[in-house]
Amino acid sequence: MPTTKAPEPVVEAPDAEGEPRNQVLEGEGTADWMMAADCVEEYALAAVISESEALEPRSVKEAKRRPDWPLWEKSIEEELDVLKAAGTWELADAPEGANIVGSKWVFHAKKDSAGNVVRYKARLVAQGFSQVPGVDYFNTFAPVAHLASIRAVLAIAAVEDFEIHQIDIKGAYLNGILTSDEVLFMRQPLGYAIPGSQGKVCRLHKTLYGLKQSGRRWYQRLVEIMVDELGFTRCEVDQAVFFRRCGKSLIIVLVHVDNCTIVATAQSLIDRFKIEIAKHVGITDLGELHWILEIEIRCICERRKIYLSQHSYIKSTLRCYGLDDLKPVSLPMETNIRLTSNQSPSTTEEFAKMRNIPYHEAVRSLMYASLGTRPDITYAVQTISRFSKNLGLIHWEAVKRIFRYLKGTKEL
Amino acid sequence: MSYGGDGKELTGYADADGNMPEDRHTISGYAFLLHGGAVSWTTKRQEIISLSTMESEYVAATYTAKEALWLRSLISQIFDTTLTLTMLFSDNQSAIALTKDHQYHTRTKHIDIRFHFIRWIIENGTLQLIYCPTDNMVADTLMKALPSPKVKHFAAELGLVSV
Repeated sequence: MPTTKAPEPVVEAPDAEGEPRNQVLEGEGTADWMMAADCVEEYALAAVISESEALEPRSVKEAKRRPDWPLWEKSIEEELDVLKAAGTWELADAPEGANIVGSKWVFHAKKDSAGNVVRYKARLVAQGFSQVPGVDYFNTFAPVAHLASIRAVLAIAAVEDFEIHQIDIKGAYLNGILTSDEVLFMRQPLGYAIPGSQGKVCRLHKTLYGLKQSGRRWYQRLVEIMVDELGFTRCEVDQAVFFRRCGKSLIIVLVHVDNCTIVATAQSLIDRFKIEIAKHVGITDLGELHWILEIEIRCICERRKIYLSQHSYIKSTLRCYGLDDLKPVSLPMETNIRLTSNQSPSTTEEFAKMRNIPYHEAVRSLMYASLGTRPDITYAVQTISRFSKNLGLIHWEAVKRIFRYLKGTKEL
Repeated sequence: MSYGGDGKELTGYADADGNMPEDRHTISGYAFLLHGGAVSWTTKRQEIISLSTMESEYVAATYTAKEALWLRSLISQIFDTTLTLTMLFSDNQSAIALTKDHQYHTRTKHIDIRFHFIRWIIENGTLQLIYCPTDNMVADTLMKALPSPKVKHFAAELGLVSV
């Protein structure tokens, strides 16, 4: 998130004037606005790092040096057991010239809401970047439920007083099955090669996290489970929505990768569905729906109302860009300022000023708020996103103004 | 964003702004309300350059009709209901008139046939295009930077109220 790319014209403009770019930027480095821009980036970095990385080893080598190695070692063995039970691969000799995909251990310490580590988790990932398109993988797309479908179903569910629950699929991508066209070889897990099989590699039968086609193969497996095994119908107009109707009873499942939102006319239908799906994949039952895709959901059943809010997303976004001490305003956009591309920087000095501003990232964060629950900022976000190629200071001010507006109205 | 309370059917609002001075493209958009909250909305720069406000509004209505059809089939398929006529609101009388007949030939003859899609949909009886004064046009907030009272009013109309 904190990596910022300078817009392309920054590179071109100094060349046009025959000046080396570095000199220009060094000369400007001490000015006040540069400091401000740098701070933003550092805040963003700090927020990301402190949240997770300090606690987790980045490689097996690092994990082995740490005092908590036995815990990590146990988690690695657990993961290997899971993969073995799933029949993810068999050992084989790689044919001459076959592309061998690398593998890597990724560690994660799961924390509870108080910040205490509750679970040490290791995951074996394939290094999908070394896969060859057209040989190792073909199509990689997979549908997810549209936000509009989610909102429409939740709105109707609230009025009709349906039950709304949520489950997570455990290790969703480990369930995907590779097709016969996809003959994939992966290096044996680092440090855990089976003794006596050093020259061999893993011939994959199922998908792993990191493979290019994992998302698509998981979706296809899910369709198989939902349609063939559980008798659901896939919605024609949103292919990640499944439903099953029987007389007056109705159960709807909205899928977003591994996150299933279940809406049903009666609690018993949900309980039955959870038991049915657990026969095919591992699930975590999250109970009633409170949280979906950074959107908080609050149901007030007595009044048949449902509230969707992104206030914690907005709060953390503001903190991430170091903008949480801005003064709130009541308008997302000033009515008397017209933003045009004429206000984009034209001189080297102006380009340099804009160099370290996390404009793309900020626009992206605003875009998600606007798509999720905030139609009131949609116009402002649409306008500022037109200038992401070549932004001026006035465009950045407009971005900050949207943040200020959101700060004042984040409870909506 | 809140849904529920006063149970209202799906309604759509289509609007377009005048041409942008920069490149003469129009900003258009729509919002769909269901049970008192917005379920679908968008702001988009139209890909065509239109010659009149009426044309932009007409094109915006066609975009809106497409989304309306999608939402209708989503809801009717999942909940197995037959939906009544969906009302679309536009704040341009001429655009509404154009969906009914060819009165203004000289000024509309250049409009691409594909935008007349909405005529067919309205004849079909799935949608109805109705006039709505600009003050009640909630999609207006998706089209331009409005003054504070209007921003608040439309935000509340779109279902943005605190718990």
